Amino acid sequence: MTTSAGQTPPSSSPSSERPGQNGSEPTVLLEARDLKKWFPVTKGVLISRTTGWIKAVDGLSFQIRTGETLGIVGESGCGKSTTAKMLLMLEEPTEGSILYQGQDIHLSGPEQRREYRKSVQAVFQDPWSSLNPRMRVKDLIAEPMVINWSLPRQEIRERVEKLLSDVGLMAYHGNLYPHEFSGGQRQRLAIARALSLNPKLIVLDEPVSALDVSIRAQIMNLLKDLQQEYNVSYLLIAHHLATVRYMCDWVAVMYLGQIVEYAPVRELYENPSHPYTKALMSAALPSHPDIEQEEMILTGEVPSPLNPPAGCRFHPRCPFVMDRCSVDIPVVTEISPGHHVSCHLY
Amino acid sequence: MAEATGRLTAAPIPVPVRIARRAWRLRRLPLIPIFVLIIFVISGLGANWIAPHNPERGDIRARNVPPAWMEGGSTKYLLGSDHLGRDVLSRVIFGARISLAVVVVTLALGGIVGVSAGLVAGFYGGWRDEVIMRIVDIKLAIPTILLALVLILALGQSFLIIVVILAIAVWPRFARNIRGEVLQLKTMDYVALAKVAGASTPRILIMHILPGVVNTLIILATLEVGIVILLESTLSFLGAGVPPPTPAWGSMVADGRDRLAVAWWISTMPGLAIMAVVLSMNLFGDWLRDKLDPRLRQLE
Amino acid sequence: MINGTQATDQPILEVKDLRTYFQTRWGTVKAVDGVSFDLHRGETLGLVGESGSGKSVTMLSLMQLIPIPPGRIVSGEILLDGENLLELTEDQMSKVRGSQIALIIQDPMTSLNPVFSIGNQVMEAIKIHQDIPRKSVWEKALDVLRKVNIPAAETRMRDYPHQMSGGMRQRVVGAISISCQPSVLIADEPTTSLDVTIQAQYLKLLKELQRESNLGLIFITHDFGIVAKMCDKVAVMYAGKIVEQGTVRDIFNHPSHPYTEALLASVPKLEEDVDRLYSIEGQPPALHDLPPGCPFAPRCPYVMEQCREEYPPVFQVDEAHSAACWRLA
Ligand SMILES: Nc1ncnc2c1ncn2[C@@H]1O[C@H](COP(=O)(O)OP(=O)(O)OP(=O)(O)O)[C@@H](O)[C@H]1O
Ligand code: SF4
Ligand code: SF4
Ligand SMILES: [Mg+2]
Repeated sequence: MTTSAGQTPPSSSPSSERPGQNGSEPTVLLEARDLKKWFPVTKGVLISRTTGWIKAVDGLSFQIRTGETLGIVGESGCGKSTTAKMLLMLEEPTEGSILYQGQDIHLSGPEQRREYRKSVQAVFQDPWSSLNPRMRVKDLIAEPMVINWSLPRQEIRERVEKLLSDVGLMAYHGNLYPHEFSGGQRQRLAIARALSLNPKLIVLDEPVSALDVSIRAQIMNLLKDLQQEYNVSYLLIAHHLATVRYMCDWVAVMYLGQIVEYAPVRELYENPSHPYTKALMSAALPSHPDIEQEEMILTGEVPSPLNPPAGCRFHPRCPFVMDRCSVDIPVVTEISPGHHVSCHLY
Repeated sequence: MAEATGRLTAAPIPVPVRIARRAWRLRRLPLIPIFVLIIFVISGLGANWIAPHNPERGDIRARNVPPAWMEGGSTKYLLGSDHLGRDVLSRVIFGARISLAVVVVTLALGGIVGVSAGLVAGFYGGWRDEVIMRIVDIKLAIPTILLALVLILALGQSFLIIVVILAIAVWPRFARNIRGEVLQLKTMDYVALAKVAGASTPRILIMHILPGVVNTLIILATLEVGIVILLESTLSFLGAGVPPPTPAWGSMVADGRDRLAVAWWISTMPGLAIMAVVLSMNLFGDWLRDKLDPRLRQLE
Repeated sequence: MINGTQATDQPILEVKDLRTYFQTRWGTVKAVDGVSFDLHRGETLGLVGESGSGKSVTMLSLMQLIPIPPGRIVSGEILLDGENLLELTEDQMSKVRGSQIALIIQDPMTSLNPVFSIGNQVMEAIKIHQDIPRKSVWEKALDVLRKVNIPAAETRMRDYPHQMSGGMRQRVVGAISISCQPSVLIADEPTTSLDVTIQAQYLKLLKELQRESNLGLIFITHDFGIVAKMCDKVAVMYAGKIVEQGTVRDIFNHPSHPYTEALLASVPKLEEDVDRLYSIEGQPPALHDLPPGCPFAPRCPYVMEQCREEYPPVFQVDEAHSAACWRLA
């Protein structure tokens, strides 16, 4: 590989920049306030009526800081991808707002919205479906620039070559078609394309889970190196808790469309506080056979977001459930600096 | 990483894929159908130069001459002559020209309308989809021949009208198939990513969706060719085709139908031409479909 | 480790020098090339490797489900309870499949037939392999469903797969695979991963089943987490060969093959901060185009002259721990 992804750790190791450890707080790049996305459940074809709502995302608030990574973890269907789509303007929020550099993007003018679009790019899970199979790699990587910038062809070509080399590929790769690459290489191409507009934020929806184990570390390290180089923020969606620990500065744990716990990464992993987070941690696979894990296997399945349970949404599966849990909705409590939990235990 | 170029160094290919590849290589190019189709196209394009006789002017002294290999046949009329003394071979060759013209114009018209309708219905969905697909359903429920006869009675009989009628007959199939394809394509991540990159809807349709349906389009078009030729021949046979004396295969079959006992070749030769072209086109279309099917294509 | 069951002396499954080749247009692909391992009752073996390393072909060879042609089991012995499966006729083998060796696929959605009831499918599995009266088939099916903790098993027998939740279906798949009391159970993990909590339930279920019937269990996986949690022994495959084999502690504490070492260093850890993961450069080799010598050489940080010329033999590191690498010479 030709990137800076050598085997020696970079001089400024990312972990020394974990929140709470450095003096100057990074600025907030993007903020979600009480974000909701409800999908109507309809009956009838031409004249349809709404019979219910799938509350895919139901009141999310979080912040993403410049140059940092926010991780969102949770089980399938908890609303992670829907959240990502709202940030990418692929879905319109039902309620709530997204503030980009302090501006509500849904209230601002078309010029600012265009600016926002350019600043927020994405890399998705499936490296086989995220590149148009009928376009040459150089055209794929150039496409965002062709759409948004009026650059001379020569400059675009140089930039494409720079991006290819940034993600560890060669200039001649630009002339090939996506199917001529392996999964890991295709993910590199997707990253190069996402970087082409110098975005401020890249949404990474399960970027490594479709890759071979020996390739995952390559891509994770590449993403970390690029973050240093470009000072870009990431929103990382993943269900693999160890990956999130490695990649993120902040973590939000989602359950049924809501954030149940939100904390700096080390705090969350060393002091998981919400019962659901604890259950996730105990269900996650250990990295060594001698590690004793707390036995806390959840029974049952995630209820349908069509009829989420009343009170605390986790109460039907919670081992610590109390009487009030099925009635009162828990409020968000800050149990230590930056560590937010919504559970009646706190 | 430097020498890792993709295809050659890509991860090993799974076993089932390898098996499919072997099977794939055993498939042969359909040589005979391709040969027939080439002759068809050459006849159509070069009828003026190839045909030994004028197809519309007959020699009254040489009526009902049997084909050359039969008793009483003459090498002057290789496939015999008809009841007006016209050379059957020349008429079949000129018939190819009519069929070819009808096919090309019909598919161009019907294809453009059908593809546009399919793109709009599939990509936008909602009421546009509802409206377009209902029209398609209604169209597919009306017998084409009946519709054609009514329209021809109302509007008259000309090449243009025939072609428009045939285009009306074929567009719904294009619309329906393309729509299905678009429904799949639009869920691909690269379409979402194009939106994220700021691509406009027309750009997405042209750069990302349309190239994805080209294979389907080619396959559909080849399969429609047979249908169009049959329809046109049927109309001609019923006397509602391209107006005489232009020799269309269908009307030639109709002309000779009363003389089957005396001069069977008048009907049979154009009939065989229809059959050969339609059959070849379908065989070729089947082969092309396997060839272009993206799932199989990736293997090659 | 976590596994309390007793391992007897005579292995229930012994694989010796198994070779399965495929004929392709590029020549012979040695998908499994000289694989040997054994498994005792009550023991769990993890077969670890990336996609294309040959772990699934190994499993298919054990079950003799290799498509022939282009595949062929070229040599080797598969001794199940002392009997060589490779000498059985197809008829005899089909009796062994399911009744003595069962395969469980970790995808509960596709391994049940949607048009038959749960009871039907469990009873079918029992009827194929056991000659018992109809009435007791029903009883037996009920019994296995109870064994995998299906609540209200009696009413559930009449349910169809779509009426059950994912976790429940998983249990049914588990029930089917143990219904004939196999002695070896192979669990093949799909590439798409399950949710962590569902996966934990599934692993727990397998553990219970193993404890109950003293099964030999083989996990086919690419995830060292599953190995750490579930297995007693590990075999690491690379390019069709087992490159390292040992007890789970041998492997985690003293990985001796550079590939194992690299793999372990390249997975992030749940329990501690990692500054930088080791990243294995390049990609797994194409099996039809293997370099001469050690197949890991192009990616190996310790590669030596000798590695590129000659395939390394297996060196014994410890009593039950061996690896094929020239560094151990
Ligand atoms: N367009 C849609 N119409 C109706 N329901 C939807 C739509 N998109 C998502 N949903 C529902 O919203 C919920 C959240 O979906 P989402 O894709 O955000 O989950 P996720 O957390 O990304 O899951 P996964 O880990 O499986 O990717 C699910 O119940 C899903 O079925
Ligand atoms: S609020 Fe109650 S039910 Fe919900 S997580 Fe806390 S203890 Fe459990
Ligand atoms: S034999 Fe050589 S190349 Fe192969 S793993 Fe050992 S040191 Fe590396
Ligand atoms: Mg998702």
